[in-house]
Amino acid sequence: MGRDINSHMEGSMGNKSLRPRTPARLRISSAAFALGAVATAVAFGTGAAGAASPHARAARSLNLNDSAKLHLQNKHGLVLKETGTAKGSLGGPLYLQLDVTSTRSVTAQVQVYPKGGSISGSAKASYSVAGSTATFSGTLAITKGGGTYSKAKASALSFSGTIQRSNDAVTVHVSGKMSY
Amino acid sequence: MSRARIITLALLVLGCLPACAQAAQTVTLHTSFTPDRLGASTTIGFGFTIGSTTGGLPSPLTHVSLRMPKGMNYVTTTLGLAICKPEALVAKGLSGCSPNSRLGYGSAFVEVPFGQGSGREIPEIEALMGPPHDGNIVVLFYANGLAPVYAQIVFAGELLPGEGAFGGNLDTTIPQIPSVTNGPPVSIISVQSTIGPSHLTYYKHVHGKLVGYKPQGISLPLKCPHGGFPFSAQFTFLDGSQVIATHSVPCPPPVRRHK
Repeated sequence: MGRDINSHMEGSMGNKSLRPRTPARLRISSAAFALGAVATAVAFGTGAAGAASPHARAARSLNLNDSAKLHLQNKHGLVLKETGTAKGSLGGPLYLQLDVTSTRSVTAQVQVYPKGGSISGSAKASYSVAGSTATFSGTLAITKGGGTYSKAKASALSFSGTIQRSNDAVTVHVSGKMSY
Repeated sequence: MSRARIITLALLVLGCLPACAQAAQTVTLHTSFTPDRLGASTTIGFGFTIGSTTGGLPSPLTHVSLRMPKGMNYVTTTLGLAICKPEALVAKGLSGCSPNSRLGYGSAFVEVPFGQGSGREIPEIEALMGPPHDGNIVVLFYANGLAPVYAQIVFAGELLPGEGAFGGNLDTTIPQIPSVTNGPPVSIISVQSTIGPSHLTYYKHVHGKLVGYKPQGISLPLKCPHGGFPFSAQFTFLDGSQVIATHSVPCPPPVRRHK
């Protein structure tokens, strides 16, 4: 979620269950990597500890359940740029760009900046209008992470929200499991 | 040729006459944007005139599918902030619905089957935001008929996603309007209507006071396709025939920037 989107979202993203989740394959590959690093260090006469440290962390999972109330930053053509603060498991400034692709569908780019990192995602959702409110509902995939969340992954998070048509204020809700 | 064959042929010809002489319908479509400015909120005007190849009365219209250009912005419009319920419209007329549900207005000419060929105006057609159907926007049309057709008619059009060069399809089934009780339906000769903020006033509460304002219309795309903004409409008639009519709104002239 790049800073080029001129909006931020209020809310939080998910309950951080910092329960380390270490799949067997990852454990095996981590062990193999450590062994390889030790062997390399021995061969080249360097310290093994320094070679193994940055990539040894096991993946963690997080049950996201975050929502945000956003306000319109600007709109251009079929694109709404919204900004606010996420509340929930991630929390932090949130930026949402909604792109209306047809009378019934939208795509979205989401960026959230929780403490220590960032997460970007893209979403596809159906869209419908009912009087003063429009609603959207679909799925969101994480496309990029930074800092603490540099390895963030999720492919089918629930993504939904509403648009107040009178002022383009948006509420957005994201839920589901991500790893990082 | 035997007498029997001649009689059979004559019967066939006579039997064919009413059907073979049946008029085919012709339709001209006209569309407009006011203002016609790229990216701007606009009022869409559309109208059609139905004729007959024989000069007689066209078959009553049963269905219109109006396809509108791609890239029109239906999302940022504030048209139709309230929903008008069809039953309220039938029971109370326009007073049964919020002014914030109005989308546009128009008029129509109809001809009764026993008419003199001059057409009779239905001066008041209102377009209103109806309850959505399957997530699609629904446009309610309210026609307030006066002499010789005393009837208040409500019918609905559903905005379906478009295909190809078209971004939306207003799919409308037209009810048959009886000329007299149990009589044949009237034929629609022409319709003019708008969807957009022109001549509409919405209301909102500001510091406890009700304030009128003009809603934001559907916005035009930022780019105009080659040849203008295309519209296409398919008309279906009671006799089963279908006619497709097309029209394009010309691209607006480029805006001159003063240095």
